[in-house]
Amino acid sequence: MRKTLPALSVAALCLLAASARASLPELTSLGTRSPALAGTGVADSTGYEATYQNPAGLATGKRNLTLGLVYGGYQTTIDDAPYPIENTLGLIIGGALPLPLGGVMKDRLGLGLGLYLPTGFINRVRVPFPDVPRASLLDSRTQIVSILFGGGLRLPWGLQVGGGVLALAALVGEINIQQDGSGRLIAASEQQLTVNYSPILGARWQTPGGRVAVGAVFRGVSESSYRITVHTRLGDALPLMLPVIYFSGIAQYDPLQVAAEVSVRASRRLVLTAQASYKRWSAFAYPIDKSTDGSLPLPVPHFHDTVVPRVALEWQPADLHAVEILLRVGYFFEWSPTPNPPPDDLSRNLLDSDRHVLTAGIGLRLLGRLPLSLSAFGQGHLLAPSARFNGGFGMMGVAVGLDL
Amino acid sequence: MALLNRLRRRGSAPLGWLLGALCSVGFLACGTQGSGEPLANTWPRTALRSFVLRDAEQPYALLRLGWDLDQPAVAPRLDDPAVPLMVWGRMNPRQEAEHGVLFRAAVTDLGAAAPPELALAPVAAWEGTDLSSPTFLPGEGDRPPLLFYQGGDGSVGLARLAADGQVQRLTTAAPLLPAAALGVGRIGRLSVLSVGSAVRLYYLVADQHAHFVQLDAEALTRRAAADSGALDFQVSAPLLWAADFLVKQTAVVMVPAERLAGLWVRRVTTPAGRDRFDLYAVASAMTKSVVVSASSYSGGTIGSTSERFLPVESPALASASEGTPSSPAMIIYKDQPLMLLGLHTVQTGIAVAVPPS
Amino acid sequence: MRRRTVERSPAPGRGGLASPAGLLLLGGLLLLGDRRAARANPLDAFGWGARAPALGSAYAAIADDSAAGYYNPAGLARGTDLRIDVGYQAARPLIDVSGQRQALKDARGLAAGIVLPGQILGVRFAFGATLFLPDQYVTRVHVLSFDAPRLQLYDNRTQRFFLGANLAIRIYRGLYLGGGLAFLSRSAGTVELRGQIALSDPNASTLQSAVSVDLLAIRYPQFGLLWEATSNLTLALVYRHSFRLDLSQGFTINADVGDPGQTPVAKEARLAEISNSVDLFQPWQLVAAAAARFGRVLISFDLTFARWSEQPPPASNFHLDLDIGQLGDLVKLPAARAYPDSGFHDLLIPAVGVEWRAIPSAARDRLALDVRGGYRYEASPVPEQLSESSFGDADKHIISGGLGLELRKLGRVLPRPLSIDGFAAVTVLPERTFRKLDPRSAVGDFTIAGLVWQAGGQVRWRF
Repeated sequence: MRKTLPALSVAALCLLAASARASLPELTSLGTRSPALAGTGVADSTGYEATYQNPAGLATGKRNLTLGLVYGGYQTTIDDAPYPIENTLGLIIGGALPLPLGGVMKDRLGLGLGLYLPTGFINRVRVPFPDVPRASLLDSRTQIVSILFGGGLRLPWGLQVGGGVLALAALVGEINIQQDGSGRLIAASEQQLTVNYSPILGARWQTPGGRVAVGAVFRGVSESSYRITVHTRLGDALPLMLPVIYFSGIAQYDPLQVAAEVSVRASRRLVLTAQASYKRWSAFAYPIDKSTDGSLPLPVPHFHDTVVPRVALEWQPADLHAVEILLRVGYFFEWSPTPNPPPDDLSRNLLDSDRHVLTAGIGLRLLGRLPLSLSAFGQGHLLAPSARFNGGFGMMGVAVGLDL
Repeated sequence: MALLNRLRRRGSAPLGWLLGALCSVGFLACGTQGSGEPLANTWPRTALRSFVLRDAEQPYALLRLGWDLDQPAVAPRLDDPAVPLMVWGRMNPRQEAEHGVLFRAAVTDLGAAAPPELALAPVAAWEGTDLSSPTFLPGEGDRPPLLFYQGGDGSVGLARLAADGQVQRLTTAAPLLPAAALGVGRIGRLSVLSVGSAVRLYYLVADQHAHFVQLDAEALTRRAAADSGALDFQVSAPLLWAADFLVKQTAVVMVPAERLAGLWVRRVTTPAGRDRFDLYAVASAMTKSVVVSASSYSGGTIGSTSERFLPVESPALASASEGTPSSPAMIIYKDQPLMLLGLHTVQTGIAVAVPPS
Repeated sequence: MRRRTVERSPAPGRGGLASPAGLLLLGGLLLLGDRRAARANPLDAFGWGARAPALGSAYAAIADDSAAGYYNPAGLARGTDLRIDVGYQAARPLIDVSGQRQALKDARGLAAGIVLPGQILGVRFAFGATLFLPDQYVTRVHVLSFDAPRLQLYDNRTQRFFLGANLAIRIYRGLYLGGGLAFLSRSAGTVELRGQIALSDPNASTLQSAVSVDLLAIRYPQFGLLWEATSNLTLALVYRHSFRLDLSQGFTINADVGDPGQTPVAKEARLAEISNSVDLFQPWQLVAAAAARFGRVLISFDLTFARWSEQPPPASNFHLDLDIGQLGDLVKLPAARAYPDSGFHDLLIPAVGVEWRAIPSAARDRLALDVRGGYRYEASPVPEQLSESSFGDADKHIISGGLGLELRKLGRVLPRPLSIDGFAAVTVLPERTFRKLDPRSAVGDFTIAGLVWQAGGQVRWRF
């Protein structure tokens, strides 16, 4: 008991460790293995990918550092006219660290770090006027930094748990346009970047032989908001007074999610996985607030909750001496949360469509002196035919990992 | 030390784990949570611009029905919050502007003042039918607190202020300083300051230019002790002109002031330990009047020319609401600068203005 | 249509570098080095961790923990343990301006880091991540007008987070090279508004908005070199690149001007404003350091050159473009004036630290104790403030002390020692007087004086 108590306190430390999840992972999953497997991994992912899939998976695995690249290209139309969506391009950096404790804590505790960094920026907000139709859940969706940090603990009887908190930034402040003491026009500002936290908790269980694994994960709502108030005090310099202007809204939103998954090792070289995840889109609010006190109230989106089914298989075609090769395929159906039929008010311009997603990928791991691994994935997202929003997009990525 | 040596040899794993874990969890438990609230700006500023009426709806601290109150000044007092502020000024019956007397009123709270009572009425021949412009020189050494005032023609009188607030005239037979010696033209409101070994009285001439007359402080002390000897004095060259200030006529039109009135000067010791002289007045052009300020490190010099006060571009009082301001006076009240001024709407009373928040 | 545009004046081991592994690592180092790291301002002012601040932040030559991610990335590769540091530090400024206490935010937050050592084909390297996360916000941006008085180095320079990732390699026995990356962000963008601006009551205006704003990543370099010249003497050199937060924010209004229900006074009027400002400037720095051990005493010395003369005027540049029809005749905007140069001085900052192993650790001992003290002197880079600007600052004497406890033999779960460090420090700002040439100054003469109290603790886990 004396030795267990400190271990639990360290575990609590890990549970409190920050874990964050944001939009590229929500769209395609993080890494290269999980996206190749239709975004599954709640039951069996390890390494840095587990920081998003299920932090319980961080309890086992090897010490690893990974560097990767993700790219996505879009071809979509709205009302039969091309609708451009900015390409996705970003870096993936991941690390997994099983803590080399001894005694009863040997091989029980691990930490993980995962970063998705869009090239050049951290967050991009693009919200057009309410009467402009837009791809509400795809536009700028991958244009946000994801920072994930998690911890996992391996318990007896095949059970693993993990958790953390999700952090996204919020911007709040004030800008005052005025004259300074010498008469110059200036913009004085006070702005603070604060952080919103939401929890992420996961657990998994594996049969003694490792043939079947089940996992479940809960991800709280995460949102990145902004509220800047602009006061214009130009006195007599202008013949009109500007109202107080509010730049306020939600830059990024990921709904509350609960996912459950089962993974079965059908044979020595074949693993089959199936997952269902519930997403609480009904809590989604219109992404932008009123600009002035006198402006008209904005519409309610009336999104509904969704369930996303996923299936995948991973197959090792042969036992080779120098390299391990894994082939991956998967499919998932992303049910759109937008109401059908669309409402009569301006929220009808928040467009989205159901998506059929096919995924595939390959993983290579060198078995010699150089512990390198290479993996790649591709995803094809096909929008189900709809009256206004159609087309599709593809995502691909590649990553190099090094076991330390 | 013995405990440390004992721990050194025998150790204490549970204590070590507990300490390490508690510290780690404790440190991690702090989060980044903020409300975006800006901090209050407490940087001290000079009291030269942008004062605002304390209450735009009801700006008056002192009013008396049927009378006009103006030219406020505060008598010297101990800095004891229990002792009320004694505000002096000039009052005249409505429609009888040439029959002014000096009043005083005890103010314990700026919103609750005792009614003004008569403090000094004209009795000496040279005073004529009108008294105005009370201004106080605090006591120093052997010199008691002194009250300077003006008679009907602008000549300067002197009185001694007793601790009980009673006034004893020292210039019954003749004024301390005749108006003709101060300048050619109407002599405006007085403002007295102690400057080293001298005493200065600042005033306006002909509503156009500001001067000061300088007296020797020791000589004044003897005079205050009822020594009727002559008092030497020197008059400065102009320190400031009305046209140095601009008065806004419309949103886009500013014109040079045509008149200056109600001058008040105070001496401030800056945090750097040097003197700065702040001047307040009312500048008028056509029908518009505005409270203005100017400043100088020397306060002017005696000579054929004098170092001038530099005018501040922005008004000292941002807005007088619907009223016409007159005779500002700057005091320190509860460690904060406070402006008392005459304000004319339907009648004239003493209003209060505070620094911008 | 009348249009006006106004411009306003913001081991040794086997392999070494020649081996393929070494080249791979060096390439990685250069790659990471190109993505840059910066010494964050709260760390400039208050240090990072608990051991380094106790030593007066004279740490460049002795860093071997995750604090090396800030003080000298080369030091990350000195150790072979996996190290995780978790700590908390707080600084409270108590600074008076002309005797009046100023409202300043504490600089406090989590200080955590990790050092992940490794070896690839005989070349020893380490990856380190270092984080300072303030309590109340991630970053605070505070842009004032040029003439607004402020405590230039304590107003909000210390109010940002630091996140650095570094890579270090051992080039040869005793010689280490490190380079780092750190992130900060800046915002740039515009908001478009359209609708109606009410003339009589602005609050009755009805406007819709469209937002296009980016939060951009900023990266900047830091490199370090460390040489263990002898077993008792270490020398170091560190370069930290400069940083400035450039903000660009604006809005465009296309609207009718007039009261609701009435004919607009100006139809399709346009007002476009963009403001560019600079905040959170930090100068580039070069640090030369040395550390020497004399038995149980370790003495370290840092000398830092900081290029403060590159400080830009900390205010915004404002551009306003107007087209408001017949109302344009009533526009009366002040003439443009440039900002004067801020005139900051370059600085040489000396720091010295002493660490004494009060209770040494023999093989069977379970505890060791270090006692630490340090001193750093930082002159003020701020020049006389004779005219428009009022940037208040004073020289700084930083006196610090601390204790370090090393606990050993904690059982089989944790075979490596556990360290617990604590420190306290005080920064003394002797009174400095600023005079204004113009007696009409809104700020006037002022004095600056005060203290900054600091304290912190850190736990180091080794694996």
